[in-house]
Amino acid sequence: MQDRPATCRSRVLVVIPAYNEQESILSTVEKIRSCGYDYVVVNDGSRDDTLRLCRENDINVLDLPQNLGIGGAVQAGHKYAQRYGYDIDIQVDGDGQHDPSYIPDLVRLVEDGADLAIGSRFLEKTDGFQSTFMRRVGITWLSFLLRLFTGRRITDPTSGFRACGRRAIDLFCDSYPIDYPEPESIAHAIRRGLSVRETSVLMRERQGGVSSIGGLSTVYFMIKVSLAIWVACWSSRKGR
Amino acid sequence: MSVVLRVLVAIIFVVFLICVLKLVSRDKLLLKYSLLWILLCVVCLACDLFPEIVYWASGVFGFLSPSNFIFLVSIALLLAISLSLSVAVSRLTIANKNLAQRIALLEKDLERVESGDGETTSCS
Repeated sequence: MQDRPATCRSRVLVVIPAYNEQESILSTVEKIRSCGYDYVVVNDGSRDDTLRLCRENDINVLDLPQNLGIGGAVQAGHKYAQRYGYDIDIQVDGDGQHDPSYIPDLVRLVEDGADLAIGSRFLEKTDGFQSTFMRRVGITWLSFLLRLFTGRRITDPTSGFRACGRRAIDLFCDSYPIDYPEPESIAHAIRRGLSVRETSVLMRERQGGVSSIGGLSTVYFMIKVSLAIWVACWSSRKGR
Repeated sequence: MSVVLRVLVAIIFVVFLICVLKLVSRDKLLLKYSLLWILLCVVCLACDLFPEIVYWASGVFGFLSPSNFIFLVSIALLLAISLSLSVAVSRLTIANKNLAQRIALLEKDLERVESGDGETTSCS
Protein backbone atom coordinates (compact mmCIF):
# COMPACT_ATOMS: atom_id res chain seq x y z
CA MET A 1 0.00 0.00 0.00
CA GLN A 2 1.22 3.45 -0.82
CA ASP A 3 1.56 6.16 1.76
CA ARG A 4 -0.61 9.03 0.80
CA PRO A 5 0.87 12.49 0.57
CA ALA A 6 0.28 14.69 3.59
CA THR A 7 -1.42 17.30 1.43
CA CYS A 8 -4.39 14.99 1.07
CA ARG A 9 -6.31 15.60 4.24
CA SER A 10 -9.10 13.12 3.78
CA ARG A 11 -8.48 9.59 2.67
CA VAL A 12 -11.90 9.26 1.19
CA LEU A 13 -12.66 7.70 -2.16
CA VAL A 14 -15.94 8.15 -3.96
CA VAL A 15 -16.82 5.11 -6.06
CA ILE A 16 -19.22 5.74 -8.92
CA PRO A 17 -20.44 2.53 -10.56
CA ALA A 18 -21.66 3.34 -14.07
CA TYR A 19 -23.44 1.11 -16.54
CA ASN A 20 -24.80 2.92 -19.60
CA GLU A 21 -24.92 6.27 -17.83
CA GLN A 22 -23.85 8.56 -20.66
CA GLU A 23 -26.57 11.13 -19.90
CA SER A 24 -25.71 11.68 -16.29
CA ILE A 25 -22.13 10.56 -15.67
CA LEU A 26 -20.51 13.92 -16.47
CA SER A 27 -22.73 15.95 -14.18
CA THR A 28 -22.37 13.38 -11.38
CA VAL A 29 -18.57 13.40 -11.63
CA GLU A 30 -18.51 17.19 -11.89
CA LYS A 31 -20.39 17.49 -8.60
CA ILE A 32 -18.04 15.06 -6.85
CA ARG A 33 -15.00 16.85 -8.26
CA SER A 34 -16.25 20.25 -7.14
CA CYS A 35 -16.51 18.89 -3.59
CA GLY A 36 -12.83 17.96 -3.83
CA TYR A 37 -13.05 14.23 -3.25
CA ASP A 38 -10.92 11.54 -4.84
CA TYR A 39 -13.19 9.48 -7.00
CA VAL A 40 -13.18 6.59 -9.40
CA VAL A 41 -15.80 5.79 -11.99
CA VAL A 42 -16.20 2.04 -12.42
CA ASN A 43 -17.32 1.51 -15.99
CA ASP A 44 -19.17 -1.79 -15.86
CA GLY A 45 -18.84 -2.76 -19.52
CA SER A 46 -21.18 -0.02 -20.72
CA ARG A 47 -22.34 -0.36 -24.31
CA ASP A 48 -22.99 3.36 -24.74
CA ASP A 49 -20.54 6.26 -24.74
CA THR A 50 -19.86 6.28 -20.99
CA LEU A 51 -16.25 5.18 -21.38
CA ARG A 52 -15.50 7.56 -24.26
CA LEU A 53 -16.99 10.50 -22.35
CA CYS A 54 -14.87 9.63 -19.31
CA ARG A 55 -11.67 9.37 -21.32
CA GLU A 56 -12.31 12.60 -23.21
CA ASN A 57 -13.03 14.54 -20.06
CA ASP A 58 -10.02 13.18 -18.20
CA ILE A 59 -12.13 11.35 -15.65
CA ASN A 60 -10.45 8.73 -13.47
CA VAL A 61 -12.13 5.58 -14.74
CA LEU A 62 -11.66 1.92 -13.85
CA ASP A 63 -12.71 0.07 -16.96
CA LEU A 64 -14.02 -3.45 -16.39
CA PRO A 65 -13.44 -5.56 -19.51
CA GLN A 66 -16.99 -6.91 -19.39
CA ASN A 67 -20.26 -6.33 -17.62
CA LEU A 68 -20.15 -7.80 -14.12
CA GLY A 69 -23.38 -6.41 -12.71
CA ILE A 70 -23.65 -3.80 -9.98
CA GLY A 71 -22.16 -6.06 -7.30
CA GLY A 72 -19.05 -6.81 -9.33
CA ALA A 73 -18.61 -3.13 -10.19
CA VAL A 74 -18.97 -1.93 -6.60
CA GLN A 75 -16.62 -4.66 -5.41
CA ALA A 76 -14.08 -3.49 -7.98
CA GLY A 77 -14.39 -0.06 -6.35
CA HIS A 78 -13.74 -1.57 -2.92
CA LYS A 79 -10.70 -3.37 -4.32
CA TYR A 80 -9.47 -0.09 -5.78
CA ALA A 81 -9.89 1.59 -2.38
CA GLN A 82 -8.05 -1.25 -0.68
CA ARG A 83 -5.23 -1.26 -3.23
CA TYR A 84 -4.59 2.47 -2.96
CA GLY A 85 -4.94 2.60 0.80
CA TYR A 86 -8.10 4.63 1.30
CA ASP A 87 -9.70 4.62 4.75
CA ILE A 88 -13.23 5.19 3.59
CA ASP A 89 -14.97 4.54 0.32
CA ILE A 90 -18.35 5.89 -0.59
CA GLN A 91 -20.61 4.48 -3.23
CA VAL A 92 -22.48 7.11 -5.22
CA ASP A 93 -24.60 5.94 -8.12
CA GLY A 94 -23.78 7.35 -11.53
CA ASP A 95 -27.38 8.22 -12.37
CA GLY A 96 -27.53 11.39 -10.29
CA GLN A 97 -29.89 10.09 -7.59
CA HIS A 98 -27.43 10.71 -4.80
CA ASP A 99 -26.62 14.21 -3.62
CA PRO A 100 -22.90 14.61 -2.86
CA SER A 101 -23.68 17.18 -0.17
CA TYR A 102 -24.55 14.27 2.14
CA ILE A 103 -21.11 12.70 1.76
CA PRO A 104 -19.69 14.52 4.82
CA ASP A 105 -22.53 13.07 6.95
CA LEU A 106 -21.63 9.56 5.83
CA VAL A 107 -17.91 10.17 6.37
CA ARG A 108 -18.60 11.48 9.87
CA LEU A 109 -20.56 8.34 10.77
CA VAL A 110 -17.65 6.15 9.69
CA GLU A 111 -15.12 8.35 11.49
CA ASP A 112 -17.29 8.03 14.60
CA GLY A 113 -16.81 4.28 14.51
CA ALA A 114 -19.37 2.87 12.11
CA ASP A 115 -17.99 0.31 9.67
CA LEU A 116 -20.83 0.74 7.22
CA ALA A 117 -22.83 3.96 6.99
CA ILE A 118 -26.03 3.95 4.95
CA GLY A 119 -27.75 7.00 3.54
CA SER A 120 -31.40 6.33 4.31
CA ARG A 121 -34.40 7.90 2.62
CA PHE A 122 -36.74 6.80 5.38
CA LEU A 123 -34.94 7.56 8.61
CA GLU A 124 -36.71 10.87 8.89
CA LYS A 125 -39.89 11.99 7.23
CA THR A 126 -38.70 13.99 4.22
CA ASP A 127 -40.29 15.32 1.11
CA GLY A 128 -37.57 13.98 -1.19
CA PHE A 129 -37.87 11.15 -3.69
CA GLN A 130 -38.98 8.06 -1.80
CA SER A 131 -39.57 5.62 -4.62
CA THR A 132 -42.89 4.18 -5.72
CA PHE A 133 -45.44 2.56 -3.41
CA MET A 134 -44.64 -1.02 -4.46
CA ARG A 135 -40.94 -0.48 -3.95
CA ARG A 136 -41.58 0.93 -0.51
CA VAL A 137 -43.52 -2.23 0.32
CA GLY A 138 -40.52 -4.28 -0.81
CA ILE A 139 -38.13 -2.13 1.19
CA THR A 140 -40.31 -2.46 4.31
CA TRP A 141 -40.29 -6.22 3.87
CA LEU A 142 -36.49 -6.39 3.60
CA SER A 143 -36.17 -4.07 6.56
CA PHE A 144 -38.44 -6.41 8.51
CA LEU A 145 -36.37 -9.45 7.49
CA LEU A 146 -33.14 -7.80 8.57
CA ARG A 147 -34.69 -6.89 11.89
CA LEU A 148 -36.03 -10.42 12.33
CA PHE A 149 -32.73 -12.11 11.61
CA THR A 150 -30.22 -9.61 12.97
CA GLY A 151 -32.22 -7.58 15.47
CA ARG A 152 -31.01 -4.31 13.92
CA ARG A 153 -33.22 -1.61 12.53
CA ILE A 154 -32.18 -0.70 9.00
CA THR A 155 -34.75 1.62 7.47
CA ASP A 156 -33.39 1.68 3.91
CA PRO A 157 -31.62 -1.62 3.15
CA THR A 158 -31.67 -1.09 -0.63
CA SER A 159 -29.92 2.27 -0.51
CA GLY A 160 -26.89 2.39 -2.79
CA PHE A 161 -25.60 5.54 -1.10
CA ARG A 162 -23.20 4.07 1.43
CA ALA A 163 -19.84 4.61 3.06
CA CYS A 164 -17.52 1.82 4.14
CA GLY A 165 -14.71 1.91 6.66
CA ARG A 166 -11.64 -0.29 6.39
CA ARG A 167 -13.21 -3.33 8.00
CA ALA A 168 -16.17 -3.20 5.65
CA ILE A 169 -13.87 -2.61 2.65
CA ASP A 170 -11.83 -5.69 3.57
CA LEU A 171 -14.97 -7.77 4.07
CA PHE A 172 -16.52 -6.66 0.78
CA CYS A 173 -13.27 -7.17 -1.16
CA ASP A 174 -13.31 -10.71 0.10
CA SER A 175 -16.92 -11.42 -0.76
CA TYR A 176 -19.71 -9.32 -2.21
CA PRO A 177 -22.99 -10.43 -3.77
CA ILE A 178 -23.14 -10.16 -7.56
CA ASP A 179 -26.63 -8.79 -8.13
CA TYR A 180 -28.85 -6.64 -5.89
CA PRO A 181 -26.04 -6.64 -3.34
CA GLU A 182 -27.07 -3.99 -0.83
CA PRO A 183 -29.46 -5.74 1.61
CA GLU A 184 -27.50 -8.97 1.51
CA SER A 185 -24.20 -7.25 2.20
CA ILE A 186 -25.76 -5.51 5.22
CA ALA A 187 -26.71 -8.91 6.60
CA HIS A 188 -23.15 -10.14 5.99
CA ALA A 189 -21.67 -7.08 7.68
CA ILE A 190 -23.88 -7.40 10.76
CA ARG A 191 -23.18 -11.11 10.95
CA ARG A 192 -19.44 -10.43 11.00
CA GLY A 193 -19.95 -8.04 13.89
CA LEU A 194 -19.48 -4.84 11.91
CA SER A 195 -21.35 -1.80 13.08
CA VAL A 196 -23.94 -0.57 10.60
CA ARG A 197 -25.49 2.87 11.02
CA GLU A 198 -27.77 5.10 9.03
CA THR A 199 -28.01 8.78 8.37
CA SER A 200 -30.89 10.59 6.73
CA VAL A 201 -30.49 11.68 3.11
CA LEU A 202 -32.67 13.08 0.37
CA MET A 203 -32.59 11.33 -3.00
CA ARG A 204 -33.65 12.67 -6.34
CA GLU A 205 -35.29 10.82 -9.16
CA ARG A 206 -32.80 9.38 -11.58
CA GLN A 207 -31.68 11.81 -14.29
CA GLY A 208 -31.03 9.27 -17.03
CA GLY A 209 -30.56 5.58 -17.67
CA VAL A 210 -32.84 2.77 -16.61
CA SER A 211 -33.31 1.33 -13.15
CA SER A 212 -32.05 -2.20 -12.75
CA ILE A 213 -35.28 -3.13 -10.97
CA GLY A 214 -38.64 -3.51 -12.72
CA GLY A 215 -41.07 -6.08 -14.08
CA LEU A 216 -40.36 -9.76 -13.60
CA SER A 217 -36.93 -9.02 -12.21
CA THR A 218 -38.69 -7.43 -9.23
CA VAL A 219 -40.06 -10.85 -8.28
CA TYR A 220 -36.61 -12.34 -8.71
CA PHE A 221 -35.15 -9.48 -6.69
CA MET A 222 -37.50 -10.01 -3.74
CA ILE A 223 -37.04 -13.79 -3.65
CA LYS A 224 -33.31 -13.67 -4.15
CA VAL A 225 -32.64 -10.99 -1.56
CA SER A 226 -35.00 -12.48 1.04
CA LEU A 227 -33.33 -15.85 0.65
CA ALA A 228 -29.87 -14.29 0.72
CA ILE A 229 -30.55 -12.48 4.00
CA TRP A 230 -31.88 -15.66 5.55
CA VAL A 231 -28.93 -17.73 4.32
CA ALA A 232 -26.43 -15.13 5.52
CA CYS A 233 -27.90 -15.12 9.02
CA TRP A 234 -28.46 -18.86 9.14
CA SER A 235 -24.85 -19.63 8.25
CA SER A 236 -23.68 -17.15 10.88
CA ARG A 237 -25.58 -19.01 13.55
CA LYS A 238 -23.93 -22.22 12.47
CA GLY A 239 -20.58 -20.50 12.17
CA ARG A 240 -20.42 -19.00 15.64
CA MET B 1 -36.91 -57.88 -20.30
CA SER B 2 -36.36 -59.38 -23.71
CA VAL B 3 -32.83 -60.16 -24.81
CA VAL B 4 -33.11 -57.78 -27.78
CA LEU B 5 -34.08 -54.90 -25.51
CA ARG B 6 -31.24 -55.69 -23.13
CA VAL B 7 -28.71 -55.77 -25.91
CA LEU B 8 -30.06 -52.49 -27.31
CA VAL B 9 -29.81 -50.78 -23.92
CA ALA B 10 -26.31 -52.17 -23.41
CA ILE B 11 -25.20 -50.81 -26.80
CA ILE B 12 -26.67 -47.37 -26.04
CA PHE B 13 -24.80 -47.09 -22.76
CA VAL B 14 -21.54 -48.48 -24.13
CA VAL B 15 -21.67 -45.93 -26.96
CA PHE B 16 -22.46 -43.20 -24.45
CA LEU B 17 -19.58 -44.30 -22.24
CA ILE B 18 -17.22 -44.27 -25.22
CA CYS B 19 -18.39 -40.76 -26.13
CA VAL B 20 -17.69 -39.53 -22.61
CA LEU B 21 -14.24 -41.13 -22.57
CA LYS B 22 -13.43 -39.73 -26.01
CA LEU B 23 -14.40 -36.24 -24.89
CA VAL B 24 -12.07 -36.65 -21.92
CA SER B 25 -9.20 -37.89 -24.06
CA ARG B 26 -9.65 -34.95 -26.45
CA ASP B 27 -9.56 -32.51 -23.52
CA LYS B 28 -13.08 -31.36 -24.30
CA LEU B 29 -14.38 -32.63 -20.98
CA LEU B 30 -12.46 -32.51 -17.73
CA LEU B 31 -12.13 -35.88 -16.04
CA LYS B 32 -13.46 -34.21 -12.91
CA TYR B 33 -16.82 -33.50 -14.54
CA SER B 34 -16.94 -36.82 -16.39
CA LEU B 35 -16.88 -38.93 -13.24
CA LEU B 36 -20.59 -38.61 -12.51
CA TRP B 37 -21.46 -39.39 -16.13
CA ILE B 38 -19.23 -42.46 -16.05
CA LEU B 39 -20.85 -43.53 -12.81
CA LEU B 40 -24.26 -43.14 -14.44
CA CYS B 41 -23.20 -45.33 -17.37
CA VAL B 42 -21.71 -48.01 -15.17
CA VAL B 43 -24.79 -48.16 -12.95
CA CYS B 44 -27.09 -48.41 -15.94
CA LEU B 45 -24.96 -51.08 -17.59
CA ALA B 46 -24.85 -53.08 -14.37
CA CYS B 47 -28.64 -52.90 -14.08
CA ASP B 48 -28.98 -53.96 -17.70
CA LEU B 49 -26.57 -56.91 -17.51
CA PHE B 50 -27.71 -58.08 -14.08
CA PRO B 51 -31.39 -57.15 -13.73
CA GLU B 52 -31.49 -59.31 -10.60
CA ILE B 53 -29.84 -56.40 -8.80
CA VAL B 54 -32.77 -54.16 -9.68
CA TYR B 55 -35.39 -56.73 -8.76
CA TRP B 56 -33.66 -57.45 -5.47
CA ALA B 57 -33.16 -53.78 -4.57
CA SER B 58 -36.69 -52.72 -5.46
CA GLY B 59 -37.98 -55.62 -3.35
CA VAL B 60 -35.82 -54.63 -0.38
CA PHE B 61 -36.93 -50.99 -0.50
CA GLY B 62 -40.55 -51.88 -1.21
CA PHE B 63 -41.00 -50.39 -4.70
CA LEU B 64 -44.18 -51.50 -6.44
CA SER B 65 -42.33 -51.98 -9.69
CA PRO B 66 -38.62 -52.33 -10.51
CA SER B 67 -38.97 -49.62 -13.15
CA ASN B 68 -39.91 -47.12 -10.42
CA PHE B 69 -36.70 -47.97 -8.67
CA ILE B 70 -34.74 -47.34 -11.86
CA PHE B 71 -36.48 -44.00 -12.36
CA LEU B 72 -35.69 -42.90 -8.83
CA VAL B 73 -32.04 -43.83 -9.10
CA SER B 74 -31.60 -42.21 -12.50
CA ILE B 75 -33.36 -39.01 -11.41
CA ALA B 76 -31.17 -38.86 -8.32
CA LEU B 77 -28.04 -39.27 -10.41
CA LEU B 78 -29.16 -36.62 -12.92
CA LEU B 79 -29.94 -34.25 -10.04
CA ALA B 80 -26.44 -34.80 -8.68
CA ILE B 81 -24.97 -34.09 -12.10
CA SER B 82 -26.98 -30.88 -12.62
CA LEU B 83 -26.15 -29.64 -9.14
CA SER B 84 -22.47 -30.27 -9.72
CA LEU B 85 -22.77 -28.31 -12.98
CA SER B 86 -24.38 -25.37 -11.16
CA VAL B 87 -21.55 -25.44 -8.66
CA ALA B 88 -19.05 -25.43 -11.51
CA VAL B 89 -20.81 -22.50 -13.21
CA SER B 90 -20.88 -20.53 -9.95
CA ARG B 91 -17.20 -21.11 -9.43
CA LEU B 92 -16.49 -19.95 -12.96
CA THR B 93 -18.65 -16.85 -12.49
CA ILE B 94 -16.72 -15.83 -9.39
CA ALA B 95 -13.36 -16.59 -10.99
CA ASN B 96 -14.36 -14.64 -14.08
CA LYS B 97 -15.48 -11.66 -11.99
CA ASN B 98 -12.24 -11.65 -10.02
CA LEU B 99 -10.22 -11.81 -13.22
CA ALA B 100 -12.13 -8.91 -14.79
CA GLN B 101 -11.58 -6.81 -11.66
CA ARG B 102 -7.91 -7.72 -11.56
CA ILE B 103 -7.44 -6.78 -15.21
CA ALA B 104 -9.11 -3.40 -14.65
CA LEU B 105 -6.96 -2.68 -11.59
CA LEU B 106 -3.75 -3.70 -13.37
CA GLU B 107 -4.68 -1.50 -16.31
CA LYS B 108 -5.14 1.35 -13.87
CA ASP B 109 -1.71 0.65 -12.34
CA LEU B 110 -0.17 0.68 -15.80
CA GLU B 111 -1.91 3.94 -16.64
CA ARG B 112 -0.49 5.55 -13.51
CA VAL B 113 3.03 4.31 -14.15
CA GLU B 114 2.91 5.54 -17.75
CA SER B 115 1.69 8.97 -16.73
CA GLY B 116 4.42 9.20 -14.08
CA ASP B 117 1.77 9.31 -11.39
CA GLY B 118 2.88 6.06 -9.78
CA GLU B 119 3.65 7.39 -6.33
CA THR B 120 1.01 10.04 -5.78
CA THR B 121 -2.66 9.34 -5.96
CA SER B 122 -4.87 11.66 -7.91
CA CYS B 123 -5.62 14.24 -5.26
CA SER B 124 -7.60 17.03 -6.82
